[in-house]
Amino acid sequence: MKKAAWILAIVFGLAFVGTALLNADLIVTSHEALARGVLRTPASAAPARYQLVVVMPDTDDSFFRGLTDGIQHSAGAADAAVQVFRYPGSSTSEAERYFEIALLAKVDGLIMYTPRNDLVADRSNRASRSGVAFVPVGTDAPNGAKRGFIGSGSLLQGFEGGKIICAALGSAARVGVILPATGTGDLRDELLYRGVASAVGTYQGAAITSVVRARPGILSGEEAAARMLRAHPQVNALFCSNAQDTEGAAQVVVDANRVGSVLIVGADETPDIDRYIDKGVVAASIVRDSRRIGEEAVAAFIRLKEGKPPGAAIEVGFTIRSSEGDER
Amino acid sequence: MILGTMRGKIIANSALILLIMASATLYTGLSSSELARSVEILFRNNLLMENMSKTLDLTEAGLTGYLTAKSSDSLKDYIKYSTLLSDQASRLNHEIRADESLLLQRDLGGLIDSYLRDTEASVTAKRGRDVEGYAESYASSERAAELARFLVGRIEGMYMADSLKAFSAFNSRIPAVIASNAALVVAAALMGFMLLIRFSYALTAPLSKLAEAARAVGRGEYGDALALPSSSDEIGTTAMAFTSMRESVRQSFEELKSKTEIERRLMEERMRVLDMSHKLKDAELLALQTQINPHFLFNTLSAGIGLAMSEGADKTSDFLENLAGFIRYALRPPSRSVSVEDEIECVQRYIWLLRLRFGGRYRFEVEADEEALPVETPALMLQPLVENAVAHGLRNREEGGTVRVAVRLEGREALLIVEDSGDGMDADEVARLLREGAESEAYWNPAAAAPAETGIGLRNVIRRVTLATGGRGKVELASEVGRGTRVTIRLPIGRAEA
Repeated sequence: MKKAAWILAIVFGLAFVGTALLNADLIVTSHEALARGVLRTPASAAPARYQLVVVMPDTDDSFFRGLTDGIQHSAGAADAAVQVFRYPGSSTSEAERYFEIALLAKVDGLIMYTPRNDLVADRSNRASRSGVAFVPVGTDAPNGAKRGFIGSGSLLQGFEGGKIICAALGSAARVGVILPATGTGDLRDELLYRGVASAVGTYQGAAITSVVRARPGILSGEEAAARMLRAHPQVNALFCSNAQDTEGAAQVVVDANRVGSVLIVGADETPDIDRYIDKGVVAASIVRDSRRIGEEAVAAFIRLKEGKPPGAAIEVGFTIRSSEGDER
Repeated sequence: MILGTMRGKIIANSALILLIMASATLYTGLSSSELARSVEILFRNNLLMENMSKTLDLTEAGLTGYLTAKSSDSLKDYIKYSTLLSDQASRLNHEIRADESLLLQRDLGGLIDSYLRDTEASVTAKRGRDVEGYAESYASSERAAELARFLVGRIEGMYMADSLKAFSAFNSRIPAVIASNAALVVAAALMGFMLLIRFSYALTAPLSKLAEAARAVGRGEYGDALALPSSSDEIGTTAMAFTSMRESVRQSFEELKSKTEIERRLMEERMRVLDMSHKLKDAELLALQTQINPHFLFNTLSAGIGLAMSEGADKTSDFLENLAGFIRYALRPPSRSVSVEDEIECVQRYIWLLRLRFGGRYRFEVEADEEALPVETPALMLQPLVENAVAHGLRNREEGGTVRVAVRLEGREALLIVEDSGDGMDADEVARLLREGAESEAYWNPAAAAPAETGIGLRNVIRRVTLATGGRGKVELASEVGRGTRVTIRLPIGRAEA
């Protein structure tokens, strides 16, 4: 009895200590979870020299992912903490709100996606008055942004797309153009469209049959392509301006069993697009180097903070990806 | 040392158990408190944002009131709440850190600063009656306030999302914390119970030992087989006193026992001395009789023989001569060895005397081989057997009977046979006689050979044969009721090797 009592007392003692330690561990772990989520202090995050705000559309498009990646990648070297404000679709008022917040908060720098019709000169002046280094980025330089803009160049992108289509279909090309949801204004005034039209126009008999603007959302390209092919059965080539629309159009062509009869020229790169290229669903994709746009934007921001004037507008160019490989 | 006493042990043990239970209770209480504090932390930041939003509204109301009515109360409110707002804004992060939430706080702080600058400009312009100036500043402050509210909402949303995420992670651990607390209490209770049993045993075991020792003493057991407690507390002291007392009692008993034993031995010694004294007296008397009787008897018999011869009574003379010869033979030391021839001669004298006594009622036959005559034999082997044959075998035979004595060699043995044609004995009687003869320790005692004592003579013969031959010789008894009895003495030829 004496021995058994000691053994049991030791067992329960160990259980007592073990349970107490487990309890303490659970409490500590819970506090750590709270600290990670709620109890943030400046000491818990890495310090930086500059606060760099990025304002861009809230989209999952690979162009903007590449743009963000490029900014984040370069910001580390520039000792800048990046803060990204995303606004829905083409809401200019939301973009303006974040622009104003950045100015009133007196951040160090602002990289902002500016559509072609944006009043970028006015923004540049207001930012300058607030002491904020302003770097506009996008696809095509807005009117008035002769310097400091960094973009991909939609006119050339469209022209290359048109060339690829006409090279494949010649005068039989009946092209449908799906413009990005981020754009505004007259469809035929878009540089992208004008680029496609310029290329198609050089081939006698070839024509742009339809042009539509995708609506915001992940199914926009799919919906636009389906609508176009239904309304214009003669369309035998689709030109898409971004990755999301390209994937959607490819899916429509596959579902309609028109692979081979409808040629798709897409944009940018995703694993799905690469797979479509490998299977011959997408003939080629014009990959814009948005990551480089981000990197160049950070470099421009640093130049402005150093008191240097804005540099010349930059078009980073693109790569044409097809089943035969990449071509710059 | 307090732990050296029973009271101290009880207090220490109880304190230990209470400490365990109290620590478990305290720990579970602290855990609950921590859980409650964690939940409060979850919403602390949201509370700050909510307060800032309210203060912003109140500041704006004060400013609007002052600008529209130039009310001093509104100005006081404005000053009060703008100061509070500034204070609240100062609690926000103002450092540049790579964290979205911290950067949003910094943005909000910047917006609040901008707002307060604009409101100050409005108030200043209002005091300077600069209508356009305060209108512009007021509009600017309104926009800053709107953006600040937007950021507050955004930060609140972020905090709420963070809180929910953290609470989710936190909440997933709450059941484990509750379960571990329950296990803690159970483990503490069981451990306390076990310690209670252990301490109870430790406290009562020495008492049990002491009680057992007391019972043993009550039974008269004073040995050291029981281990008594050797602790230094009250029980140990009692045990030591008990041991000492037990030892004293044991020594007293030992002394009493020893004294009794000595007295008993003394008494035995006295009895032995007394007995020896009596025996000595008997021996002295016997010695005197032994010395006096033979001389007196032989002198008397010699006188009788002479008288009979002088009177010409030849038969009386023969009687006395045979009687004297027989008595002389019988009075020799009983342990002596004689020849079979001497035994034959002795028995023939005895038969002569019997014939004189009984006349021709009994017939006696004596046969002895010549080769057997020199053989050594204990003295008086045949006479008691002949006497038994006449006294017991033939006594009730009115018609008389025959007693036959024969001696012969058989192999390495000499057989001395006495047989009668008397009443005989049943098997039980034969067995009894042989058994009594084997168990008899009596040596030759002439008194024991008295004819009136049935079987004594035979037992004497058996015993002496056994002793004289070292167990090699033996006596056989064959009898049948109504057919007579035969006693055969088998004597080994040569010296006994025993």
